[in-house]
Amino acid sequence: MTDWQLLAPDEDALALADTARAQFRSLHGAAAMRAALDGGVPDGWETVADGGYADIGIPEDLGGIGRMIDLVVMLEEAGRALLTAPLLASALAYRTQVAAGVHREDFRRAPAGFGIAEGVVDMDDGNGRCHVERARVLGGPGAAAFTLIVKGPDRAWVVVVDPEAEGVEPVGQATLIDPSRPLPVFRLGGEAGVACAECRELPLGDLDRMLAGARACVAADLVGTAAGALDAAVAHVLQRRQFGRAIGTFQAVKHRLADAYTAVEQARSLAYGAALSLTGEPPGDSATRDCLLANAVAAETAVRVASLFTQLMGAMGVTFEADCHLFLRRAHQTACLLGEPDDLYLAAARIERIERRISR
Amino acid sequence: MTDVTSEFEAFLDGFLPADYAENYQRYRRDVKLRTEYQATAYDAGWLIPEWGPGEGGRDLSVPDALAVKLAGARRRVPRLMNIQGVGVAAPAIRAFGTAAQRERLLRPAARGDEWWALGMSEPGAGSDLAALRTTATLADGVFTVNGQKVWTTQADEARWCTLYVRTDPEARPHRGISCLVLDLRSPGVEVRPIRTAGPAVESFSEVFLDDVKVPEEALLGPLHGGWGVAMSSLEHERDMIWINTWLETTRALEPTLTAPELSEHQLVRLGRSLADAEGVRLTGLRTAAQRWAGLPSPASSILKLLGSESVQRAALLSLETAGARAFDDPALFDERLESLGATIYGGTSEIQRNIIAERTLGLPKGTP
Ligand SMILES: Cc1cc2nc3c(=O)[nH]c(=O)nc-3n(C[C@H](O)[C@H](O)[C@H](O)COP(=O)(O)OP(=O)(O)OC[C@H]3O[C@@H](n4cnc5c(N)ncnc54)[C@H](O)[C@@H]3O)c2cc1C
Repeated sequence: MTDWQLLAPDEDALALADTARAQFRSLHGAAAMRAALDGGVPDGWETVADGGYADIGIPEDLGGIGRMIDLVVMLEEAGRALLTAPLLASALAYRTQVAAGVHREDFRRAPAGFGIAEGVVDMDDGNGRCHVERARVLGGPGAAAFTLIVKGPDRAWVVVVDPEAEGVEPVGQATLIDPSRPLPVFRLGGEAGVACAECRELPLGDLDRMLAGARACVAADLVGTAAGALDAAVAHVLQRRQFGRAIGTFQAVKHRLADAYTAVEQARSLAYGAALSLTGEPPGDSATRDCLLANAVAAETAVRVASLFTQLMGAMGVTFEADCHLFLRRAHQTACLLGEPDDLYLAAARIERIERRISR
Repeated sequence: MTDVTSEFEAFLDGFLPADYAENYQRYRRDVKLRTEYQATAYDAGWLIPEWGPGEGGRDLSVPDALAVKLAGARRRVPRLMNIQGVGVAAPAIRAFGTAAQRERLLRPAARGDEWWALGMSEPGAGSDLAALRTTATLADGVFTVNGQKVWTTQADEARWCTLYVRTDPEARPHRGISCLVLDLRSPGVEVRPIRTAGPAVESFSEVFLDDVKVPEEALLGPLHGGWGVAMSSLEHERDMIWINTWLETTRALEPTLTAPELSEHQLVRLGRSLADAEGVRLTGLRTAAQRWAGLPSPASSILKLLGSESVQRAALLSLETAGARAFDDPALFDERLESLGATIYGGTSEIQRNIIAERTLGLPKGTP
C-alpha cells in the first residue's frame, strides 16, 4: 500500500465518516446555529467526547487513535453538518499542542480554546508567564484550557493556559458572524503575566510549521461546509421550476455548479493530501506548504460555494429561514481563522521558491 | 520509493544524457532523443508499464504503473512525438482490433514507429461530434469514403488515421457512426496543413477524402459501433491525461518559480497556481486510488477542466510576470498561445462543465 492510495479513504476511514455523518446530523447543526444567533449557547461537547471524536488523529503514545486522514474525513462531516459542538476549536488546540510537544492526555477531557495573538512570554521562571493584550479565542467560553500561539517581536511561543488562572480577563466582544462558534476576546496579563500550564518557545520562522496540522483541520471543516452548501444548492435547482422547467436545466446555472463542484473536489484533494503529508516523520517544509495551500483553497471555496448557494436560491436565499446564511457565516468566519487566503498563498509560494533554489 | 520506480529511475539514468535536467529546455526540441526514448522505453517495457511484456509493458499493477509514470513526469521524460498514437490509437486497437489488426498495427503505434492521427472533428462537427457527415458506403467488401476532417493533429506526418464516418445515415446520430483505420497514403486522401497562430508543438491539418477506398478489414470495432470506440479510447486517455497536464502546469510555472524578484501580488498568484498543480495531481491520484479500490470516482470528471485551466493560468502568470522581459524571450508568448488550445481540444471547457453538471451532479440533460 503506497501513501497516495489513502487519498481514497480506506474502509476504516469511510466507516468513521459514515458514523460521524449520522451522529452529527442528529445534532441538527442548522437549528443550533439559528438558536445561537438568537442568543442561545451552543453545546454538544458531551456527544462529541462520548463518541471518542476528540481522540481521533492523536498519536497512540498520547492515548489517541486514528490517523490524520481519519481526523480530516471526520471534520469534513462536522463541517457538512454545520456542527456547533466545539470540535474544530479542540482539534486546532490539540494539533498545535502535538506539534509543539506539549500535549497531555488530560487536555482532551474537556473542550479546548484556540487562538493566535500578539504578545510576549516571559521565560525567566522556566514555566513561562504570558502577556497578551488581546487574544481572540475560538471556543472561548466553556473551554477548559486555551492553547495560544503567541507571536512576539522576534520569537513565538505555544502556550497552554487555564482560563481560570489569575490574570485572564474576558474583554467581552460578542461573536458577530457565526455565534455558534464563539470567538470572544481575552486579556492575559496584568503586572505579573499569566502562568502557563505548558509553554514552548520557538523561532518565528517555525510558526507555519507549527500550524500545519491545524491548517489541515480548518481545510477539512471548510471542505465540508462547501460540500454541504453544494449539495443543498443542487437539491434546490432540481426542485425549483421557472419558465416551465427545473432551473437546473439552464446552462448558466449548470456551469456555475460544475465550477463549484470542481473547486470542492480540488479542495478535498488538497485537504486529504495535506493530511497524508503530515504523516511523514517529521513533517518537512513540503507538508507546511501543502497545508497552507489546502487551507487557502478550502477557505476560498467555502465562501464561493456558500455565495453561489445564496444566489441560486433567489430571494429566499437572503432570509433567516433558508440555510444559505448559515453556510455563509460558517465559511466567512472559519476562512480567515488562520490567516487570509492571499497571505497563505504567498507563504506557500515563498516556501516553494526556496525549496527550488535548494534543489538546484 | 518502491523497487519498480528505482529500477525505472536506473533505466532513465542509463538512457538520458547526463545534462538532461540542466538543459531540459533544449532537449524538449530534440526530435532524435524523443524518438529514441519512446522506442527504448517500449523495448524495455517502461512505456506502458501496465501492459504485458512485448506490448511495451511489464504487467505492473495499476498503482505501480502510476508510480512509474509519476516518476517519469518528475524527471520530465522526453515528450512523445505522437502522443495520440500511444494514448488513444493503441488502446483502441488493443481493445477493439481483430487479431490481424493487433498483429499489424499495435506495436508500431505504441513504439512510435508509425504515427497516428485522430479523424473526428469536421467543419460542421466540433463539440457536436455526433453531427459528423463524412460518409462511408460498404459494397463488395470495400468502404468508399467521402467527406472532410479538420484540426487533425499530425495528419501531415502520420501513416494511419482512426477515421470516424457515418455508415448508417438512417440511424440516430450516435448509432450510425463507424471507426475505420485509414491508411493516409491511400489514393483520394489529401492532407493540407493549417497554419497555426504560433509555432505550435504539433501541427494540424485539413484532410479531404474523395472516393477513398478502405477495405472492410479496416473496420475497427463493430459496424455502426464507432461511438463506443471513440468514447472508450478517449476515456483511456482521460484517466491518464492529468499526469501530462500536471507536468505542463509545473513546467509553465518554471519561469515564475525561478524569477529573481517577484512582487507580493505575483507571489500570491504563484501560490494559486501551485494549488492548481497540486489539485490536479492529488485529484488524479485520489480518483486512481478509488478506481483501484473498486470505489466510484466521480471527481475524475473534473480532471480535464481543472488540468487545462491550470496550464492556462500558469502560462499566463509566467508571461505577465516576465513583463518586458517577454519581448526578448519568445518562449513565453508561445507557451501562452499553446496553452489556449488546452481548453478546446479533447472536449472544450464548456462541454466539460456540461458533462460534470449532467453526469456527475445529476442535473437535467439538454441546454436551453
Ligand atoms: C490544438 C488542437 C488540436 C486538435 N486535434 C484534433 C485532432 O487530432 N483530431 C480531431 O478530430 N480534432 C482535433 N481538434 C479539434 C477539437 O476536438 C475541436 O476543436 C473541439 O471539439 C471543439 O470543436 P470546434 O473547434 O468546432 O468548436 P465549437 O464546437 O464550434 O465550439 C466553439 C465554442 O462554443 C462552445 N460550445 C459549443 N457547444 C456548446 C454547448 N453545447 N454548450 C456550451 N458551449 C458550447 C465551445 O465550448 C467553444 O467555446 C483539435 C483542436 C485543437 C485546438
